[in-house]
Amino acid sequence: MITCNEALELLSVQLDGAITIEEQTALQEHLAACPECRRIQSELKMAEEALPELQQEPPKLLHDAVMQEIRRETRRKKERKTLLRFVGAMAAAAALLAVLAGFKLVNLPGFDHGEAAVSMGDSLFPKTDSARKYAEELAKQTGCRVILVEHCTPEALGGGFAKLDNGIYRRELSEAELDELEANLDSSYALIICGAKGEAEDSAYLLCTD
Amino acid sequence: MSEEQLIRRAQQGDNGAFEELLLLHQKKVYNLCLRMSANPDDALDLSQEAFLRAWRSLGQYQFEASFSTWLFRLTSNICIDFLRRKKRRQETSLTESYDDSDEGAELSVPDAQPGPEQQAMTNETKIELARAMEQLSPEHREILQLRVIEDLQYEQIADILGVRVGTVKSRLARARLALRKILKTGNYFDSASSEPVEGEVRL
Repeated sequence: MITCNEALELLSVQLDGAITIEEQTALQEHLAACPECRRIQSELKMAEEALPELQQEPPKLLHDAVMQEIRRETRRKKERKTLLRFVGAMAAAAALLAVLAGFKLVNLPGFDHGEAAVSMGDSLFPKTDSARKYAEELAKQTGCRVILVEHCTPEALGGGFAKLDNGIYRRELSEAELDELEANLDSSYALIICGAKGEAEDSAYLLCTD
Repeated sequence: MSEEQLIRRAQQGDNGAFEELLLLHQKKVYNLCLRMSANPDDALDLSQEAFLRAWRSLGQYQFEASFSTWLFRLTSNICIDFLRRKKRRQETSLTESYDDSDEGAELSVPDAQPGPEQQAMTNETKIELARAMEQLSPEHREILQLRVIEDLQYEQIADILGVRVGTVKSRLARARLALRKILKTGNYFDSASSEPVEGEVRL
């Protein structure tokens, strides 16, 4: 015959409908002989049946507060993503500028002597770059050597230049003349050289932009 | 739409789908928090925290357990943390240790005033029952909520609490007996048994 302690454990299992046949038999045998455990059984049953009444409806505020916070955090996430995308694009553009300035293709303070800085709103390729393109194109079309001197007035190079529509000054020379000019140019000038060096008598072009 | 579809949608960022899940599960989450904190204001805060944590960590739910198991486990942990922090802040001898197994004995607060949870109820026996529950350990309140009120199976409870089924069984037995003892002391059964009863007391 099982003890009261064992019977009390089985009473709990019985309430869960998880009691086995053997356990049920042992329990019944004990209860038949034990009024105290019988009383406890009925009291446990009463408490068991009353417990579900404690369940309550959640306040509406729960739903409202949670969804409000979720919407807020969703908005913040979107804003952060947009900001990061913008900052990323700016960072990429800034990195590109730094590279171009290092190659002296773009004028930035600290990279060159005192020209106006390129602002972020400006085109990333100011006229110097279109001058370069022109120089390359000229070299290709004429088969001549072309030297583009940046940030230099035509007067500083001796004059005699023709002003072109795109703000570039052009002068045709012989190869020999261009060689000599190049050798005597102040080394702080930025030069862009296109085309191959030809014979001394061949034509060459000198371009400049101020 | 099945619950699985709702969850997948919510994981993709569909907040409307998450709202559906909230509506489906808010009663059980709220009541677990209410049972464990024994305070409707704390229960509201704790349930909010539970749902927000669920929303933020929804990507981690991989369908290995049922969604309600996952949600219950998350809620239970939040309540346990809350009770432990509360215990550390308390300076009186009235402590609610989560792991405490003796209950009713240490109560130094006179039980003349009904507690906050009870004030929300009207029926007198319900009030007595709620008051008795508050004297149980949170561990016992929790397991009674899950087994008796939410009607979960032993295995699911074991999953939620992270214990073995054997532990669930023995803890349940202790919880029921502890509750009965407190109710008995408060003469809960005397008034009940003095009422005319239909049928008989079954053995």
